[in-house]
Amino acid sequence: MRQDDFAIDNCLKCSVCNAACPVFGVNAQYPGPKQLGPELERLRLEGISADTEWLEYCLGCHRCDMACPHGVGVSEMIAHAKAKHHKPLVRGLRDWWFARPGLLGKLTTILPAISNFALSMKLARFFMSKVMRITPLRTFPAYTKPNLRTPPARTSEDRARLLFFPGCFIRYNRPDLGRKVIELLERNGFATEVAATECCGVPAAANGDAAQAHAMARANVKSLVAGVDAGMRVVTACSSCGYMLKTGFGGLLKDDRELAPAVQKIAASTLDVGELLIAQSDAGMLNTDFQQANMRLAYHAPCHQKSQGIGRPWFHLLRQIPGITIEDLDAGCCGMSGTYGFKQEKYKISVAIGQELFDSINASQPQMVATECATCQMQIEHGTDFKAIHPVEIMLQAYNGKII
Amino acid sequence: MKSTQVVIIGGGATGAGILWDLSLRGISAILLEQGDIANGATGRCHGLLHSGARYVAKDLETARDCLAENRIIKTIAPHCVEDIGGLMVQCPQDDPAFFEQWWRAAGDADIPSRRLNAEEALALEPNLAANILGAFTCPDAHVDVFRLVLANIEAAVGRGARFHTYSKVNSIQSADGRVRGVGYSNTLTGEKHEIACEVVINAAGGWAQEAAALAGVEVPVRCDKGTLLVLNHRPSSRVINRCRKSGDGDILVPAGPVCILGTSSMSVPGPDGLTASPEEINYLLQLGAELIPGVADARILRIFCGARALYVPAKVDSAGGREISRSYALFDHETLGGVGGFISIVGGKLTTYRLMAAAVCDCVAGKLGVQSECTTGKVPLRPVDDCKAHRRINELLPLPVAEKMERRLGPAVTRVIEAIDARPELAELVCECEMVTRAELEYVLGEASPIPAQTIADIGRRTRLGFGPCQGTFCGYRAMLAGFQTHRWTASQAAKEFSSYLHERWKGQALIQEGKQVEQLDLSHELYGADLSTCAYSGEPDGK
Amino acid sequence: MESNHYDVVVVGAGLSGLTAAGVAACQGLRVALVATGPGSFVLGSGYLKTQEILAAGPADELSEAIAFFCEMAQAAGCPFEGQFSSSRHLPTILGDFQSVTFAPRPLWNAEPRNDTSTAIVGIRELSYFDENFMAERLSDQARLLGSSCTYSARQISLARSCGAPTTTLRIAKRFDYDAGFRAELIEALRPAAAGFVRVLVPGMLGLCSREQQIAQFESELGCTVCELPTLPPSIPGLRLFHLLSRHLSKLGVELLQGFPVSKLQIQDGVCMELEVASPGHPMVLRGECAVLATGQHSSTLLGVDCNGHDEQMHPLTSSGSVMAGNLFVAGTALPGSSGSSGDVMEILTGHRAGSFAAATRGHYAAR
Ligand SMILES: Cc1cc2nc3c(=O)[nH]c(=O)nc-3n(C[C@H](O)[C@H](O)[C@H](O)COP(=O)(O)OP(=O)(O)OC[C@H]3O[C@@H](n4cnc5c(N)ncnc54)[C@H](O)[C@@H]3O)c2cc1C
Ligand code: SF4
Ligand code: SF4
Repeated sequence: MRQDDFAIDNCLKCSVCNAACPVFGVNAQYPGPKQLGPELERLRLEGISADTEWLEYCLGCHRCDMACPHGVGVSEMIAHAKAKHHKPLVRGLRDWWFARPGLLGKLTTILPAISNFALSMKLARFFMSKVMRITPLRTFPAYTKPNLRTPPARTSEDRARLLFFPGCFIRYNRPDLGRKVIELLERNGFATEVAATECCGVPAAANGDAAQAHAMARANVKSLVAGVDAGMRVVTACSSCGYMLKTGFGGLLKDDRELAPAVQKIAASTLDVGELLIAQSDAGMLNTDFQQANMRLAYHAPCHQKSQGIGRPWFHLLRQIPGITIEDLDAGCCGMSGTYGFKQEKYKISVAIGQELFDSINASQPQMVATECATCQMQIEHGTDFKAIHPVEIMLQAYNGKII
Repeated sequence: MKSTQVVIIGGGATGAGILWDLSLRGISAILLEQGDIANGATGRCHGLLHSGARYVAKDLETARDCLAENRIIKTIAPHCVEDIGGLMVQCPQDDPAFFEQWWRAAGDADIPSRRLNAEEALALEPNLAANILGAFTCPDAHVDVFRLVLANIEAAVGRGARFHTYSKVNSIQSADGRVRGVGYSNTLTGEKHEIACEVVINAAGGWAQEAAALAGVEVPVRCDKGTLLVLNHRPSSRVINRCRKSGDGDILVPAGPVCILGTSSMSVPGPDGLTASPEEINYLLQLGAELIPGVADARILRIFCGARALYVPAKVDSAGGREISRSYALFDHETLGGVGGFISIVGGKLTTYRLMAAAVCDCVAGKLGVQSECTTGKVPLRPVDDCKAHRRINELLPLPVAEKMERRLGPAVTRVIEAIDARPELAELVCECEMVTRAELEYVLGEASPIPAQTIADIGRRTRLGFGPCQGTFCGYRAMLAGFQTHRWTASQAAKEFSSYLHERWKGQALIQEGKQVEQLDLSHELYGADLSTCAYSGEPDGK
Repeated sequence: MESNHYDVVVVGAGLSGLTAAGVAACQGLRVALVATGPGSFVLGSGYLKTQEILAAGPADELSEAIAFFCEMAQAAGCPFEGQFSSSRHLPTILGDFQSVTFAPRPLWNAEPRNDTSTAIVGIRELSYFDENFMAERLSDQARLLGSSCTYSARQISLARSCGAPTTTLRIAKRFDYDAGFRAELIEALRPAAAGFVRVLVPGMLGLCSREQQIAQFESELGCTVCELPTLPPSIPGLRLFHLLSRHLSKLGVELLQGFPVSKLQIQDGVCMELEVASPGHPMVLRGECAVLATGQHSSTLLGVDCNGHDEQMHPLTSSGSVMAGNLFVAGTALPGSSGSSGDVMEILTGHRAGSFAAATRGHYAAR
C-alpha cells in the first residue's frame, strides 16, 4: 500500500523515538515524533485536520527513525505533513527564502562584496530580525564568487572519473573547499568533474516547501543522469546533499514514472567522499603519503551523515593519519539543522540542543573539531570557542604536511 | 418499586431507537441492558450504513428500505455518520453478467450511482487491485455504532426516558395473561430490582429467544456468526464492496481511523462465547487482498465476532399480528395467543433500526391507546453545534483533539470546556491514538454524562479509548488511574478492573496470527506479566 | 584490517546482542553491532525475575552468563544487585510484588522491609504515575506477604521547572543535562522525604546517569532513593541500553545503528557477508563470524526453512544440518524454539552465542 512507505502500521508506541528526539528533550511542549508521526498520520489518513505548528519544530535529523526498533519512517511522515502545513505570512516569506539558498547565493554572488556588506549592516539586520524573524544573534556565512569549475583534464592517465555534487554551500560560500575536495580526490587517483546541479533540495524540504524540493530534485536528477549512465559515481562532501541524493529524491519523485529509474541509479551511485575513500583504504588503494602530524581532534558526526548508514568513514580515515588522535564526541545533534537555527522562534531550542555537544567539546579540549556538515560547523563555532572544519581539509593538509 | 409504561429489554440500536421514539411520543419507558450500550450485534457489526447497493440485485424491498433509512440517518444524525460513499468493485474473478444485472437493479431502486472505468476507480482508490475492471459508486456510509446508540439514548434521556446498563432482565411478571412488570439484577453488583409496567419490548437481538422464554413464549430466530477484522489504518477512503452475489469477506468499511474487513457467515447456537478459527481469518484476509492487495500485510488490531439474529419463518402462515418485512419481524405476542403486552422485534439491519423502532412503537401506542405518529425521521438526534463552544475548544486544544472530541460529544463539549478552564491540566491526552483528553475521560466517568461509564471498556465505547494500536495497554492503565483518582475505584478495585479489561482486550488480539499486533500483544503481556502470576499470593519467603 | 571487516558482527541490540558483543569485545576482538534501535528490554524495568532464573536451565552456565552480564553492567556504570541464592519482592506497575533475583541498583531497594516507613513520591504534573494508588496497593500487598512495611504517599510539584503536563522521559532528559534541575528536584523532594528512610519515585533519574550520579543524588538528598517501574518508556530500561552501548563503544565495538541487516550471503557453509540496508546502496560487512541476536526475526533473515539451532547456537536447516559454521543465533523466541522469553534467556543465549562466536575465527581469512 501507498501509506506503507512510512510503515505506519509498525509503530508499537514504545516512545523510543521520543527518547531519541533532540527537540523533545529540550522543549516541554514539543509533542515528539511519536505523536507528530505515526499517531497523527493515522488521523490524517482519516481526514482529520491534524495540522499543528509543532511540525515546523522538527529538525529533520532522522534520529527518531534511526532509533525506532520497528522501522517506522517517522521523520518522513513529519516532513510530508510539514509540506502541507499552513504558515502565517511572514514566516512563510522567510521560509520561502530559506528554501532557496541557491537563489540567495546567485543574487548575492553577482556582487558579493555589496551583499555581504548588506547582510552585516545594522539596518539590514534589524529588518531581518524584526520583520523576517531571523535571529540577530547569528552571522550568515559570507557569499563569494561561485567560481568552482571542473579542473582541466589530465590526458596522461586513465583515471576513474567522478561527478562531484557540490551543493549550495560549497558552490556559493566555500568554492575553495570544493577545490580541496577535487584535489584530495585527485591525490587518490580520481578525475573529478563538477556537476552542473542545483541546490539538493534539503533546505526546501526542511522549510516545508514541497514544490521547490520537487523542482530541485527533478532538475538535479536530469543533470546527473547522463554521467551516472556513463558509469560515473557521484560524490558529495555535504552530508545533507548526500542524504538527499541517496533517499530524498526517491521520496520526492516516487510518482514520477519517467524519472524513477534514474533516481534509483543515482541513489545507488552516490557516495560521500569519506565513504569513497574508506573503500579505497579497504582495497589498499588509499594514498597514505601523509606527513607526520601532531594534532588532537574531536569528531562530530552530523545527523545526515549518520542517517546515510555508512558507519563513521571520516573518523576511521583521520585516525590513519600519523600523529592525529581523534575522539568521537558522540554527543547527539548539534541543533542547527541548516536554516532552523537562524529562525528567531527556534534559536533558543537550537542552542539548547547543542549544549550537550558544546559541553563535550569543552570537556575534550581538542585543537579543532572535525565535522562534515557546514551548518554543524557554524553551530559549533557559535556555541564554543573551537574551530570546526571539514575533514577533507584536514586530510589534504596531512598530505601537504601543513598540520601542526 | 419503580414503575413505567414500557420496559425495553436490550440496549442495541433497536432498543435505543425504540426508547427515543417512545420518548418523542410521550410514552414513559425504561431501557434495561445487561451489559453496556451496544453490547450485542450492534457493537460487533461492520458499521456500514447500507445504501441498498448490496441487496439491490436480490431483494429490492430491503434495498429500498436501506436507501430511505440511509438518507434519513444522514440527516438526523450527521455526527454519527461518515458520509464517505462507497464503490461496488468489479473484479475479474467475478461474473460480468452480475455487473449488468446490478446496474439495472440500482436504476430500478433509484440508487444514485455512476459507472467508473478501472482507471477512474483506481484514481479514487489507488490501493485497489490493479486488475479490477471498473466500479459503480453508491451512497454507502460508515455509521459509528456506539455514537448512534448513545445519541438515541441521550436524546431520549433528555426527554425523560430512563436507561440502565449492566441490568439483566431475568424475570417477567404477568398476571391475567398480561405482563405486569420485570425483575432484573445488576450484573456488576448482583443487586436485584423490579419495575412495574404495562408493556415489555423484547429487543434482545441474539438473546431474543431467552428473553421471550421469560414470558413463556417463543420467537423463531437463528444466530448467525460473522467475523470481522479491524485494520490499523484505512487503506481506502470509501466503503469498498465487491460487486457480486453477496458472499464472505467482501466489504471494507473505513471507520474513523481504522478499517473493518469482513465478514463471514456461520450458523451458531447462540450469541455468547463466539470465536473465529484461523482458517476463517486467513480466508477473510485472502478475500480482502483480492480487493486491496495491501490488506495481506496490513496490521490487524483486533478480531471479533458478532451474531446476527436472523428471523426464520417457521411455517409461512398468515397468522395475524405478525408483520413480516423482508428482513425483520415484529411479533405482537398478544395477538399470537401469548402474553398480552409483550412484543418481540427480531432480525433486520442496523441501517433499518429506526424503521423497526417505528413499527414497534406504532404497535405500543396502539396498545396504550396513545394517538401518535412517528417523528424520529424528522427530529435531529442532537441539537446543532454551538459556535461559541466550537471556538473555545479550538483555543483550548490542538486541532485534531478538538475536532475528535467535538464530534464525539456534541453540545456536551461545553462541560469539557468548563473542566479544562478550571483545571488546565485536564487537557492532557490519556489516549494518544484516539485523542482522548483527561477531561473527556472524567466527563464520561462522571454523573454529569447521561450514561456514566462503569468500566474501562465502557469508557472505550464512549470515547474510543483503547481502540487504537495499543489496545488499551497504555491508555487503559491511565484510565484506571483516572478512575482511581476520581474515587470511582479503590486501588485494588482499580487494579482488578484493569486486569479484567486487559484480559478482554488480549482476547480480541489472541486470534491474530502474525505481524505487528502480535508483538504489541507480547509487549502487553511482558509489561503486565501475563505468564507470570504475581507471587504476592504464593507466599514465598522474602529475600532469604 | 579493512574497516568493514570484523571478527564478529552482532546483529540486534537486545540484551542478547549486547551481551554477545560484550563477550567478544572483552576478548579483544573487533566487533560490529548492527541494530535498528534497542531491543524490547528497554520497555521494562530490567528485573531478572526469579521464575525466569529458575526456568533458564543449566545452573553453571547460567551463573557464568549472569556474572558476565553483571560485570559488564557494573563497568558500564549501571550495576545490578542480587545473588543467585536469594530473591526479593519488587513492585510491578500494577502495585503487585514480583519475585526478582537481580535488578538494576536504583530499583533494588523498593522491597517491603519490616517496620520500615517508606515514602512514595509522585509528581503532580506527571499523571501517569499515581503515588496514592501505589502506596495503597503496595501496603495491601506487603501485608499479604506478611510484612509490616508501610508505604505513604507524598506529592511534589515540578511545574516551575518542567511545565505541565510532563512525562518521565522529559524529566529524565532534564535530569541528564541540567544540574540546576537536579538541585531543584532535591529541594522539592527534601520535605517529602523528611522522616522516611527510603523514598520511591517513578523511574526518572536520567537516561544516561551512571551509578555515581545517582549515588550523589541520594547523598545530597540524604536518604535512599529508589525507582519504581512505570509505563513505557521505561527510564531504567533506556538507561541500561544507553550505558551498555556507550560501554561497548568504549571497548571498541563499532555501533552501526539505524538500519537493518537485510541479507546474509551464505556460501558453502560459511556466512561471507552481511548487507546492511543503508539508503541508496547497501553497506557490506564482512565478519569472521556473525551472531544473529534478532530473536524471532532471525528466521526471516535466515530464510523460511530454518529449523532451530544446535547446542553451539548454529541455526539449522529444515533437514537438521548446520547452515553456516560461522553463524550463530541468540535471543528469545529463536527460530524453531518454543518461544521461551525473558531477559534471563536473552542474557544466557547471548552469552553462549557470543562465546562460541569468539572462539570461531578465521573462516573468512582462510578462504
Ligand atoms: C458481523 C456482523 C456485521 C454486521 N454488519 C452490519 C452492517 O454493516 N450494517 C448493518 O446495517 N447491519 C449489520 N449487521 C446487523 C446489525 O448488527 C444488527 O442487525 C443490529 O445491530 C441489531 O441490533 P439490535 O439492537 O436488534 O440487537 P443487539 O445489538 O444484539 O442488541 C441486543 C441487546 O440486548 C441485550 N440483552 C439481551 N438479553 C438481555 C436481557 N435479558 N436483559 C437485558 N439486556 C439483554 C444484549 O446485551 C444486547 O445488547 C451486522 C451484524 C453482524 C453480526
Ligand atoms: S515510531 Fe517507532 S520508536 Fe516511535 S513509538 Fe513507534 S515503534 Fe516506538
Ligand atoms: S527528525 Fe529529529 S527533530 Fe524531527 S521528530 Fe525526528 S528526532 Fe525529532
